[in-house]
Amino acid sequence: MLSRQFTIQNQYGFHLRPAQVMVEKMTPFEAKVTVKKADGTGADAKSLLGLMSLGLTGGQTVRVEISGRDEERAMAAMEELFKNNFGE
Amino acid sequence: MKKQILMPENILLNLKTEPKEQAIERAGSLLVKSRYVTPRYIEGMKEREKKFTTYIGNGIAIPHGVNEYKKEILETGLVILQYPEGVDFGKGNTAYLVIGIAGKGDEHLGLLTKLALTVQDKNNVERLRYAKTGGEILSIIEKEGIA
Repeated sequence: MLSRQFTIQNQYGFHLRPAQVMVEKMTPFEAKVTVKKADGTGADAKSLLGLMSLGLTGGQTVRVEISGRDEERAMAAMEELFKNNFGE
Repeated sequence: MKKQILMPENILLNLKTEPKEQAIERAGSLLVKSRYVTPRYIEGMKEREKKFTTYIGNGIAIPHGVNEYKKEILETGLVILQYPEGVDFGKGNTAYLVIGIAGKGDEHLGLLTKLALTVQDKNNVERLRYAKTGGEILSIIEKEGIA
């Protein structure tokens, strides 16, 4: 399993569009991708409903855990997403 | 004066089922009518749905525009359409609540987070599906949407 910490940089938090971009980019991977908040609540990164329920705001830190055959490629894609702020 | 993000008259109840394109158009027209968006925004909503479905699970769809249409948003606003018989969103997915979203700032995220938490319980999906008033829908979301 791969695990990495990221900070939400989007001005308006992790709202609908960033969340949808994440679902879109992670869905093709076979690996299980989980986004966890500091308080331990987690959500499936392939579920928009799940991500929305986390209610992430700008400046918050999350831990992304990925496990599966293609976990390395999935983590690289996730790093790219955070690097370019989900295209915002 | 700043408008409310969800106005009581923008909760439509007991709608007859229709194709999802029409449901999206209905939600978009309501956003236009309340001056949350320009009419062009509806095109952005249709494009979004073609690219990637806005069905998010548990009987809920949240049509909204693609990024390129963000400039068509005048103010942040939501509309709620209730379809007790559901709207077919493809791949066996049926939406009972279609929530049209024009998001400019972050004022609407609290409500969406509450909604996402509310519908994690299937019983709440059924309650929202058959609620008889807009007030009932809002009070379910307010009471159940607590992390």
